[in-house]
Amino acid sequence: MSGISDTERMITLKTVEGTLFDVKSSIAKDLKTVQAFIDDSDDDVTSPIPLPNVFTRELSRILDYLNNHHRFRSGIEKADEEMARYDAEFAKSMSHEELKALILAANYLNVKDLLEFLNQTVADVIQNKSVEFVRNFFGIENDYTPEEEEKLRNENEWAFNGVEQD
Amino acid sequence: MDSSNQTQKIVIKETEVTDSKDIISTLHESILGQILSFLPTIEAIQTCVLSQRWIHVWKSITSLCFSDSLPCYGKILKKEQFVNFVNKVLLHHLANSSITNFSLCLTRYRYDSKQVSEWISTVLDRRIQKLHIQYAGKVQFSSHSFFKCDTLVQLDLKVRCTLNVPIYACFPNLQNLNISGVRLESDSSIFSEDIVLNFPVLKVFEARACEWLTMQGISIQAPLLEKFSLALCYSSISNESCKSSIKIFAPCLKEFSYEGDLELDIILLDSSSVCDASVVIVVDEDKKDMMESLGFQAHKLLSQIHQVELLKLLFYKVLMHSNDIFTHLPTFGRLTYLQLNEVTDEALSKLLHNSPILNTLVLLNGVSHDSNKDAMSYASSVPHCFLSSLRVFQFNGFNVHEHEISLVKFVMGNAAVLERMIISAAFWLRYSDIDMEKVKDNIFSFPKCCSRAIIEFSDVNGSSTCSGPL
Repeated sequence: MSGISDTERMITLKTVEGTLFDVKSSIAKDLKTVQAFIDDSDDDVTSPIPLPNVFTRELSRILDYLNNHHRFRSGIEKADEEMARYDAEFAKSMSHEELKALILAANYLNVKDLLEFLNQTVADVIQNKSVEFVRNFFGIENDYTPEEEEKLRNENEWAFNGVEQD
Repeated sequence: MDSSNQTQKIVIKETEVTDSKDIISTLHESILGQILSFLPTIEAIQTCVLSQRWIHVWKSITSLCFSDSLPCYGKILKKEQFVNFVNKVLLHHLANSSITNFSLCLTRYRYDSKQVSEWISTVLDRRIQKLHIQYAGKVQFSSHSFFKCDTLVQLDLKVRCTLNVPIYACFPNLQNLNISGVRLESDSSIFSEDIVLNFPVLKVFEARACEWLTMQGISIQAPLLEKFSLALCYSSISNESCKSSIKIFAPCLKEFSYEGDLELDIILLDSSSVCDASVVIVVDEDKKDMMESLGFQAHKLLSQIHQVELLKLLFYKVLMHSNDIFTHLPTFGRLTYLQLNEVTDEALSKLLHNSPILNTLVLLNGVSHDSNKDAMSYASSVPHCFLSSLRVFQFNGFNVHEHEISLVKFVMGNAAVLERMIISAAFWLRYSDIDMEKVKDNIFSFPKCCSRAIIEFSDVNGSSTCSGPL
């Protein structure tokens, strides 16, 4: 095992469904949860690392994102435009369900940059939308009675009634 | 309630099942707070009605964004409502929370100066990382608090305020600095020492329309600085011997940009890395007494950036005295791209002689001729750059004057590796009765030193004709 440089080492990850993914250790560094596990095991990781909360679809997307971003960043030319285009396509390719599932996975694996990007994407989706839309999007059950909701809006009049009446 | 206020139609595709589980809400509040931090603050707050679980989630936001001209659901807040809103959020609900980003954009209304000052003061005490304030009015806040803000990473201050600068100030995390309309003063008690501003990780420094009224000179320490821009900043010239100077220590500086009347002394300590420079000299026609020192000041500045590869040298409202600037020019040994807006043929000739490897020359407004001088004789010597480097010559604002035609003829006849010459006629020719066809034919007929060269003539109506190998 000696003589293999750090960037060439491969880490194996196992999803909930049992699918195995071979990942370069340089990519695995961005999965902070995984990296912490590796660090704790004194770098001696030969068997696949189980990820009990991560599904194949999500891990595959996350690795796709990371691989591409590493590729963009390692180029000599500034690939900002290409990266922006990739990010836009990446966001568009997912349904709301997939987007939400990906946030959970990215949060569990602690992938900072991707998580920030996904949070921004979700914010873009819900910005300037009605309360009903946001509830639908998140799948939130409204547990306020109409009276309770009315009371809440009145108490916070400064945030709700700020629009011009005419 | 909300359905009656709904003015937005849902345009996103709705393909998910209606009984989707609310998995998002299982996330910790801090994560949800991060999502809400990307929303305009008023919308983030309104999530409190989503469900009982969401009543306090918005208080985890780390970013506040207040803009008085941003419509919320298609409507703009009235001034009193906006003020009330900001007060409630900033001073009541989030008084003890951690805010890392704060943006205050006031462009719609005029506010009570004390009110805005209070908002800014509150924020300065909160370990803020990104601060953006835009307001055309005057505000006042503690300079002491400001200079103690060591968590700042990005600062965008476009507001009329006065900062009392201490003898030594350091912003250890600041990467981006952009100030506009700020007045910098200092205690006059210590005369000899320079004020030191230390920015260990700063990448971009931009200052516009600021007043540098410190009694001492200012020394900026920015070892990682890549871009420096100073525009329309003035110092007090009441005391000649106590002239304000700005010394910049930026060994990694790549881009340098200056716009002003050169009264402020700028000293670049180690400017060997500067690659791109833009120098715009703007002088009020009233300030005739400044003209004498202008040449000397310009020479001082240009000497410091003589190793640049790209130079834009523009003059506004500077009378023909600009010639003083060209009497002692440094040699621009690495210059490949030069852009000018106003220059006499004599000055241009001097510049060409001092730019041995010039590749591209752009004249935005043609070239003028000092009527007190004789016609320019180019025959004396050919600039070195003509022999092996000048490839592109763009001549905008061609007025069909004799001296311009001489210049064109000279370049065509002597630039040995010229690839393209683009001549664009000045707009006023549209109303003249000059026969442009004749002018064009005349130019095309001039002997070309480089047979490969393409001469493109862009007429007043926008049409282009080329002459040259295709």
